[in-house]
This record gives sequence, structure tokens and C-alpha cells, in this order.
Amino acid sequence: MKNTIYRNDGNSDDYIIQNKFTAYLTSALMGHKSRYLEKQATIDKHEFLTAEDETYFMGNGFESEIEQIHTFTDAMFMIENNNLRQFLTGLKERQFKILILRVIFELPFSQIAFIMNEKESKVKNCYYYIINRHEKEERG
Amino acid sequence: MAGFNMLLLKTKQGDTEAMEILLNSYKPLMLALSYINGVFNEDLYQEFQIIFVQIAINKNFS
Repeated sequence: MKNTIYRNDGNSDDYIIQNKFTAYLTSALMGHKSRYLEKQATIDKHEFLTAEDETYFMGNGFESEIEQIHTFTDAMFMIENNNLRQFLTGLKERQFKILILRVIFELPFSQIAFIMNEKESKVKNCYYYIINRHEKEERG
Repeated sequence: MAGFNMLLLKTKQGDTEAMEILLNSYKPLMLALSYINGVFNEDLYQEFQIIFVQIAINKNFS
């Protein structure tokens, strides 16, 4: 069977079925992607920061969350899973903050980006990088 | 290597090895479509894999 990156001539039954499958799959994936983007756009529309949110994060609320991150750093020594503890202690401070803000505080990426003073896409990339790295290390 | 039709039939019968071969052969396509504004979207990639499995198992192409 030829990989999808190579075109086949469509001469045999096998190739015809493969072409049909590829065409159906591609259109299904493209359709799903456009629906996914629409969904994300509506979510993003409702996730923007209001003036109240901004004053909240500029004020005491934001500082108390950063303080809580330090208490999480201390609490890491109590994690019984050796692999997880080693993984968390190996993270950079920025990566650890993003992970805590997302996983523990369950903040949307837009708010994390605001707190960290970074672009939202950078924060997203960093978060998924950490998750992927952890998955890879778990698999060995 | 077995033909595409054979792999598809085996996948429908629940052969995980055949499914893996099929999935790997379509991985580049799914990866390419998983980028949004130049950023790889893990969630979208996983949803693509689910769609792939649903199509491979439920849809008839012969």
C-alpha cells in the first residue's frame, strides 16, 4: 500500500478504494476543522477580559494567586509519585506557573497570557509542550 | 505489505494492527490539517483521529 503522500494511478481496485477513502476522509476532516474553528471563535468571543477582570488581575487577587503558586512549589515534596515529582521539579519557573494556572486554577489561556504578560499562542504552546513531554516520559 | 482494501476489512473486523498501519499512513494528512495559524492544535489532532477511526470502521467504500 502506498503512503498517502504519494499519488497512485488509480488503475487497480485497491487504489480506487484508497482514493475514495482519502477523498472522503479529507472532506470530513476539513468540514470538522471549519466547525471546530467556528466553535473556538464563539468560545473566544465569550472569554475576553472585561474591565472588571482587568482591575481584578491588576489588584490583590492576582498577587494572591502567585503567592499560592509558591505554596504549590513547597507542596511538591509531598507528591508520592516519584516520576511526577521529578518531572515537576525539572520544569522551568515559567512552565510551572502556566501549568498551575491552567490545571489548578482552571483559568482560560487568555487570562493566563494576561497574567504572564505573554501572547496567548505562546502560553498554549508551552502548556501543550509540557503535557506532551510528560506523556512521553510516562511512556518511557 | 497487505493492500489497502485488506487493511480496511481487517480494521472493520477489529484488527488493531491493521488500524495502526492505516492510521500511520494517514498521519501526515491529519498532522498537516491540525495546524491553526501556524500553531499545532493537539485537541484537533485527537478529534481527527477519532473521525478517522469512525470512518474506517463504519463507512463502506467497496
